[in-house]
Amino acid sequence: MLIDICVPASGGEYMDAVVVVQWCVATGQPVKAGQTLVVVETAKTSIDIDAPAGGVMGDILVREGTEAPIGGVLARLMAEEGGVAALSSPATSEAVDAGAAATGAAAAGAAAAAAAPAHAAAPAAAESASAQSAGKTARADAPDPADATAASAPAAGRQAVSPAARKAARERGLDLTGVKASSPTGRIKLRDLPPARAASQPDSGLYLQRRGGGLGDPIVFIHGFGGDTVSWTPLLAFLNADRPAVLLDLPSHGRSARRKVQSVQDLADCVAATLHAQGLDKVHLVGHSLGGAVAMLVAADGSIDVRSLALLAPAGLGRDVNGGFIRGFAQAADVLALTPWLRMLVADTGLIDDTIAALAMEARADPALRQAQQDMAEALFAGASTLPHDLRDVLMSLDMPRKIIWGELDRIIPWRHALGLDGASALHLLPGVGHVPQFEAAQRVADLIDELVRSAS
Amino acid sequence: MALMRYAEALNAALREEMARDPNVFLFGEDIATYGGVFKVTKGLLEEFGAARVRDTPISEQTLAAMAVSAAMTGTRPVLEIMYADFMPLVLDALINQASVYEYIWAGQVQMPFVLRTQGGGGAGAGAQHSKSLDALIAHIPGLKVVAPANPADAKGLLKAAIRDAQPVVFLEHKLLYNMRDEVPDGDYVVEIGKARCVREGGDVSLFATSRMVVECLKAAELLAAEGVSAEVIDLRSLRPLDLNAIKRSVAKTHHAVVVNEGWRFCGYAAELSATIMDHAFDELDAPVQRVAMPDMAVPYSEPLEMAVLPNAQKIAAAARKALA
Amino acid sequence: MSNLPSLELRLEMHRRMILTRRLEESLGELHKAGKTRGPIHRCDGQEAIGIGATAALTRTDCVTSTHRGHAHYIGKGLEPRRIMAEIMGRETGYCRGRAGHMLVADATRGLIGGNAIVGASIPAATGMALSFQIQGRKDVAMCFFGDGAAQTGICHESMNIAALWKLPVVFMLEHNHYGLTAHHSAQSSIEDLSVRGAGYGIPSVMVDGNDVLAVYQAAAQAVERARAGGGPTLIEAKTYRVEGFSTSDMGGYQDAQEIARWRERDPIRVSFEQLKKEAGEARLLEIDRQATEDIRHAVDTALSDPYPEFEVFAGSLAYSEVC
Repeated sequence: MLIDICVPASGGEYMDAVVVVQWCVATGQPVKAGQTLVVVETAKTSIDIDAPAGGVMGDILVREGTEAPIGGVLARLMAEEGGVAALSSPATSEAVDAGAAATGAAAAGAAAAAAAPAHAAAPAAAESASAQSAGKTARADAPDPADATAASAPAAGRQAVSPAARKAARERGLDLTGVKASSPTGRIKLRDLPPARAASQPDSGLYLQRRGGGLGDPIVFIHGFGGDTVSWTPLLAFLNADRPAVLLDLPSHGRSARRKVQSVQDLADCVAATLHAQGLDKVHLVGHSLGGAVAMLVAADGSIDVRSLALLAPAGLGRDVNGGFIRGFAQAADVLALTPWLRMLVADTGLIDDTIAALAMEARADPALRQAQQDMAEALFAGASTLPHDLRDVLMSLDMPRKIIWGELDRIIPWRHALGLDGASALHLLPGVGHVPQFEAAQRVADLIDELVRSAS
Repeated sequence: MALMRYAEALNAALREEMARDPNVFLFGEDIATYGGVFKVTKGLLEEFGAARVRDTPISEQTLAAMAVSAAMTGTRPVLEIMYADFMPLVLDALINQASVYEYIWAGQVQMPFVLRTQGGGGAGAGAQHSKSLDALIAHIPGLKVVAPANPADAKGLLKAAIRDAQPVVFLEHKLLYNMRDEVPDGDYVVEIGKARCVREGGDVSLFATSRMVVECLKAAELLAAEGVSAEVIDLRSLRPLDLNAIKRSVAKTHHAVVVNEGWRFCGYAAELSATIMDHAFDELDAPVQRVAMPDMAVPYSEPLEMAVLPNAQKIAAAARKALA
Repeated sequence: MSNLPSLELRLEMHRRMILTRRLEESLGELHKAGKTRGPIHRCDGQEAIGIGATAALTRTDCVTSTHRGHAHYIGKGLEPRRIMAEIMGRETGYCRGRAGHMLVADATRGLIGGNAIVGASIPAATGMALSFQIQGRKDVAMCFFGDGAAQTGICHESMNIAALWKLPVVFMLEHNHYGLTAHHSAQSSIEDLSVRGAGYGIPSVMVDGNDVLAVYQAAAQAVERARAGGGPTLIEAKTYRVEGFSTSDMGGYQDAQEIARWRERDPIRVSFEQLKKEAGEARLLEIDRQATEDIRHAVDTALSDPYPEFEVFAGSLAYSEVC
């Protein structure tokens, strides 16, 4: 019989939708009861939705990177006769647990979340735990999908799998049974796993996520060095809901593939190609820090029609930048090392508590990711504290409506870089705010962006 | 920068360090009047005099013990042991003296001496003059062990070794003495314990020291022709090992080949393999491949000797096996 | 060079021999009571050599010792309490309990150090002498070694080099007639090993190793020669150990009469006879009493000293911390 696979009801207090992160099965594929079908993200955490019964996977109705409302139908499953478990699937009760954990004392929930991935070693699939968070959370309580399926696999002798493949499968929630080993050794290797989503995206391979709907031209948000899509969540809560938000992960950040980058122009080219491949040829751009420099170059490039440009503490308007911060942040390999750098990002250091620091470190747990970012920093920031591009002329060559929003207490890039331009970009200098205005003054920044976007439409 | 031979770079390092510190002195067989059988100490007797550059009788066991105790009492000896094959004579001084004193005497003494030797096969020198005993030496606590693979590192590492507060065994290679390459002028020092990526690649990591680095680079060329991108890491220090460099490379390529000219069983490559297992297990997409000498004496006749030595072909084959 | 040293010096040597003897006896008792760890190599009967020879040295002269070195330690001025603490594995020992009785060192007094590898003291002292020569220091290195060690390759190599380079080293051969359980006649066809000096071009002398004064005078002369740049000397001091090769010795290889004969010539007794006229018996007995008390106090204190905490040796890095 045909079963609806739905979005669980308690994905978190402040969200009425989830984002589909990854489908773990394809239409027509046989599935077992308890096998993870799809991973979705809520405001607080990420959830595996498992098959309530064995059978064959049916139509997938909501594609990856898209939102679905709570209770909405994500897909259908043709269940085996007599094999149907209760529709309140184990996944749903896990979601309840996850939700409760997260909505309970934030510290407790986040601590559990932070503790869990030490075992799973999975920096992927994370979400901010609360409006306060500046970094990622890890999976809360979700059982290791590989273990779950191994438990239900037929006892047919141990499968030889390379450690790297095993780790990747675990991180991506892949079932290894049925995977064929191409190596003459009979050992399953990385190349035998189904391609990672990042690699399967057309052309550019940058990870992209859409939120919300509406008829207006989408606003594309580009994060800064060391950041990712998740960092926009607090801001999105305050934005007008009349148009979609598109969040991008820069190369070697978040879920985007690692890529060797020689210049900010390279980054801009990647972003433009991604947008174009997704049919996003007319957009508003919002860029933070390094993402601001990227946004300026994309706007100037002309291949994408940029309707308005909001720059939050952008890089590229001046030569001096806090190089010690860039290096220190990129290198920090544990919470103790990362915390002082997080505190340097904001004006009120009280905003960075142990929970947030732990979650932020979790998002950077992968040493290969950190190394890729360090390599990028070396390529982009030649010398200790200078930027290779002076984008002032680029900015002044643009003609779409633009705003520069900066915290007066920014210790990473001095707000004074915004001075001495041509007067065509509005400068909003926020008192008591550091380098991340979208976090420290989310409401104000959202209002300014709404105003800019309205004026440009 | 100057183009010079590996042996000349060593000579420059010795000259500069002896000029810099009057407590540095050299001793060993045939090093003074003759300038050393590989000419590494050429001209130093004339420049620094017989008190500080001494020819010795054939007494490796005693000379090594003397290096230990001289270093303990205010001087910085640099002892040349002509062939690594004579290292067994030296092992008592290293294992029972140099290795233990700093710890068992609770830090009362330091022993800043350098023991230079050369090893390796390929020159038709026969079974008793062609060995690499890296594993035996790197096994010993309390020592540092380095092996330069090019003239610049020869100079930089020797200077670092002489300045180090701990005993350093400095492993040269008989087939590298004539290698010619650019060497920085002046006081050029290479930090001990830091590896160097000499060729970047993405598919497989080749780890080696000394002449095997040259073979790895040749192997990388062979592999490149087949579309395989090999990364070559020159470890430079056998002890302490640059763990970060190893982890970084394996995390990148997921495949590792470890190469050492010593015997395979319980050899240095076995330690590298265990280290990768300890620290980068989850990054491995295949078992670590070891390329080493078979467990036998080095034969004399050219085809026989060439058959036992690790070379580019064997290294490339190991890489292919890992990638299969 | 055969001026008699001052009475004070002779009394001090006498006292040190007694300190050494009482230390050895205490260790024997502790061993019987099951309180020692590992075999202890007592030097009862040989004290005159270690005490007499070291009395000719300054504080900055260096000494390398053997596995049977307690007389060398005391002679170089090490404190009994800290020697005992080291032997008992305590934190207050000279090496914080890490070395044990055979490997004691005190770098501040040039005792670097005890060595359990037979013969290793010889090249060690030779190397130190080379170091002094290169630095232009006026210090002298003295090694103690036994008749067993005299057969090692490193002994021959060292003497050859020392003579060749005229190194300021004194070779003190404590000939106690046994290498572990093998009588000297099973280890060399030469009765008097000092003849080997001629083979290297080293001046050599043979002395009665149980006569502390004779040892002192020979040593003082050798030290003078070395300090003046005259090179090494080989001093063969004949003596005997009356308490076996170590506390694990099960005996049976030393002839009882031989032992008895040597006990008659106990170095402390010989010294007593030499001094009693000049110093008076009462004074000598007082020295004995005080030394005995000093050792008892040292032992009691050491036994109540704390054990050390384990720390991994940071100097043997397998992996660098270089980023």
